[in-house]
Amino acid sequence: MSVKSSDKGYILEVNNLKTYFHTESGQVKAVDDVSFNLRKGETVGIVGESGSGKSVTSLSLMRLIKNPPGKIVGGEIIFHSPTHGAIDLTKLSDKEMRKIRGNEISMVFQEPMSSLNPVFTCGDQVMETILLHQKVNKQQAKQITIDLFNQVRLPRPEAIFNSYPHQISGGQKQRVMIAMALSCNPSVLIADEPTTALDVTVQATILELLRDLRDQHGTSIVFITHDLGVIAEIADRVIVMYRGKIVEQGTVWDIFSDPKHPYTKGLLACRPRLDMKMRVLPVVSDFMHTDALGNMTEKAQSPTYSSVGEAILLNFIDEDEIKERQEKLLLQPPVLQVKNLKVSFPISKNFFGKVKDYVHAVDDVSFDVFLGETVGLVGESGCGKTTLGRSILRLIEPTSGDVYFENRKISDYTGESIRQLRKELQIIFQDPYSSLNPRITIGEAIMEPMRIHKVLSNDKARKERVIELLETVSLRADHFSRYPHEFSGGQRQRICIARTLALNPKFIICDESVSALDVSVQAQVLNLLNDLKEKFNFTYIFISHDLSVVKFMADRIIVMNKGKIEEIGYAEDIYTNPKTAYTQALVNAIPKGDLDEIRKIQMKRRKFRIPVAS
Amino acid sequence: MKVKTAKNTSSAFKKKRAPKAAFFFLSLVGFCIVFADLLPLPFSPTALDLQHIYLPPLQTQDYIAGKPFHWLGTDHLGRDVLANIIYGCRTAILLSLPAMAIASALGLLLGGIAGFYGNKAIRLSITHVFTLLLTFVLAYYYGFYLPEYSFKESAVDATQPFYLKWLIFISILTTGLVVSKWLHKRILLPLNVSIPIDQLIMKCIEMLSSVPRIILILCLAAYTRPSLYNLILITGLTYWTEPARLIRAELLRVKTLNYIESARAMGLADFYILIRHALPNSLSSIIVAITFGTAGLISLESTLSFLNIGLPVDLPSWGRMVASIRNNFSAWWLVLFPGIALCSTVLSLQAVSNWLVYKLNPRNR
Repeated sequence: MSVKSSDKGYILEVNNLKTYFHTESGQVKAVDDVSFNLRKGETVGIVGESGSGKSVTSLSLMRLIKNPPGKIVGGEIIFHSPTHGAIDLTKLSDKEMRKIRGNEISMVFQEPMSSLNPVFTCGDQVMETILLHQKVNKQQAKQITIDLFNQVRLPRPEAIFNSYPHQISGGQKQRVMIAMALSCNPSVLIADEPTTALDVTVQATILELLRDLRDQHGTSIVFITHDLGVIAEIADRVIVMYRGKIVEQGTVWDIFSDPKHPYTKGLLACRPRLDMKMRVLPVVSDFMHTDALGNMTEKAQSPTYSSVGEAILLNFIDEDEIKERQEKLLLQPPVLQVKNLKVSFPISKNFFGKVKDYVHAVDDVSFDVFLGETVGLVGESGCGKTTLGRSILRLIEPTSGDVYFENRKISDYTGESIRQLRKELQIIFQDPYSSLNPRITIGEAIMEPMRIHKVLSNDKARKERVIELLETVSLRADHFSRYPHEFSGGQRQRICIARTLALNPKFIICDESVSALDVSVQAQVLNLLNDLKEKFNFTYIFISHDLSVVKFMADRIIVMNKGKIEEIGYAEDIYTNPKTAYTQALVNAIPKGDLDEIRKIQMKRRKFRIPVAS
Repeated sequence: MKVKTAKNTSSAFKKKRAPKAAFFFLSLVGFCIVFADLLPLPFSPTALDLQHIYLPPLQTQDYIAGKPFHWLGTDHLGRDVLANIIYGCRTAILLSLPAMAIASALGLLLGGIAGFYGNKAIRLSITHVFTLLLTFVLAYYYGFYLPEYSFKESAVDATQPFYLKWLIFISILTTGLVVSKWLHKRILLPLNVSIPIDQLIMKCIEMLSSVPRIILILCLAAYTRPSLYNLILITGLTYWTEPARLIRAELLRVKTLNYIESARAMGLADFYILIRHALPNSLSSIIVAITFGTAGLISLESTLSFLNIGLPVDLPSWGRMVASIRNNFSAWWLVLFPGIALCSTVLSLQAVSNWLVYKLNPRNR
């Protein structure tokens, strides 16, 4: 069982790991020849976009790959266990592996909502792991659990011990998950996107918790995320993965200050920045070229930008220009006016069916949107931003208040005319995967609204228009008769945009339209939306939980909290000069990923790391 | 590794060989249905051969070339099993397909409306509801109740024109509709009530399915003359609950999907969305519901024939053949051969439905 031990202080050595999936369409090399090490007390961040193999890597470490279809076909994972010595995890039997899992290597998953079993109390679930791996009785296990809940800073640990998962918030659930992962004092903690499903302010607190726990216990962490900003906050070393391969690894400082690989450069450059306004976002393809087989080559001849810094410098908009645009917009007539809009949902009824209690999803909201303007709507989950967007379109009926579109009350439209209104007012949804009917070709899908609203006279002309639209969103004419599943997430979102454009709308609501996309794809879609704005003079309401995305798109930003408007202001002012405490907290919670921050965090980290090293 | 290869072969079988076999069998059944009269069968299915009752199959020692021979044996009246199986295909399909067509049409419509519209979406003004209810009662009275009564009184031939009743009924209803439209415009009652269409339909389904189906059919069959036409109506009108319930459940899932909302945001009409977007995406469960229903109806036909109700006695059917074993338990061939035919038809239908579901998914094109 034991293999050669290492003297370099490594706790985990991954050598030439290969995990392949056998599918009907052939072999997929999800993890292809990956090697990296993890030292004691170190945090390694694995960053990559969807399909890069980062999650499969983490599951391979835990030997949790489902077989079939997946299989670790080569390489070794040497784990220097404090109790068993050095062992190769790929060679262990299932029974031996169970002793390691949860005990010496444990894992925190992305979705706290579905990772806890809803029929057991939180305390039971944590105790279960403890009773399984440690020789303690129930009473002691309970005590350990409550101590753990204290450690992960859960409020009222005794009460949460007896609560069911649905009774606590998402952030609290993730803390319970972390408590569970830490319950047996593992030497390695694998965190697979532990903060992705959480709001930024909650994310910030969870990251802080993980940092503190790591420093106290000397736990090594493999932290997997798609977000470079989060990586900068927590990792010591960064591994960048792309299509199953490691393209670059180095210390967090090196990666952020001097990325070598074009893909890393592209990733760093394409994030929307909070500190300045950019005209276009650089995209990964500005830096590198990928051929059909997935091989990457740096754009040697005429690269658009040579470095991240250059990409940013060439594109940012100076303050005068921003001011000029702001003044020009205010001279335009308001195209949409929202006055005292309220949307409430009944939550409880009395015996006679009369509603006793309401939840106010949108609570007395008023604002104007001027022609050609982009208004950003930002807030955390449950703040009512999506409900607001939908009630403007009357996909949800407002409880009270008025919405005027081009000076006509939206509630006056009934029956047939509301459909006419929807021709002018369009919405682009969040999830490009489910917003296209899987049984209809994309050409048909784009043509359908035109047919219903009798845009153009016959199908031949409409088909030409569809092809023109596909080209507008940089898809090809021969995509016309394909089905949605043949496209990637980014392409599908382009199709949705093309579909929206088919009706020549004046006003578009983008509801988290880029949230489900990878950063590099997100940059492309954002650029496309911006181009379209210039070209057709659209007015947008851009709804997102991500302040940096909203700031890139918007002229003015509305910050929402608990159904109310917290603050309205110019995008720059919201960031530099937030007026309310809530906005301030929101701005501060966003991982910046800039070099100053990294330096600060690493300096703080040094203090803790010295005793570990000695 | 072993597990994987086993799984691969089983899925390969599912995709290739099973549907082929099923198609082959179903086309055989189809052939029997269409060309049963032209087949060189030695006996007609209703021909009695009282010299050879309970003849076991393949009694080759009795075979004389050129003379008619009971290949698969005979039943208690000496009727030929082979001929009955072949003609039985006709009865099985003639009952189950039209009955299923009625049942699935009803199920699609009612289940679709219940699932898609729910309890809140359909709103009618109180004037409409009131006038419609009133005219419905009137229409029923003058259309159906009164003619029945008066015809009985005047002792006119009971087979008075059936369509006349409907004509009266529908014309009174349309008048009511026009009146209610007119009233709505004049009175302008702002009061709208939502029609709990989902609840209404679900309650209806629950009512129908809380009575054991076979008893329900027995009761209904007692009131009507045993004929294929009546049986089709009875089974069709009681079998729609299952497809309706399945489709409703599927639509409850589908209607929350984004593309439905996005279609609504495009300004498409609700009914159009239901037909074009929601129903095609519940297609797999619709197909499964229909084929399982058809298979169930074929078995039901056999059951009813077994119980000796419903079907006219002179109609050859698999179930009737099985039933005749009651008189002689050692006549195993009377169960085996029709049983094989029944099982294979049901299995083939299910295999074909699986294949259809697979093929209709654009991912597998």
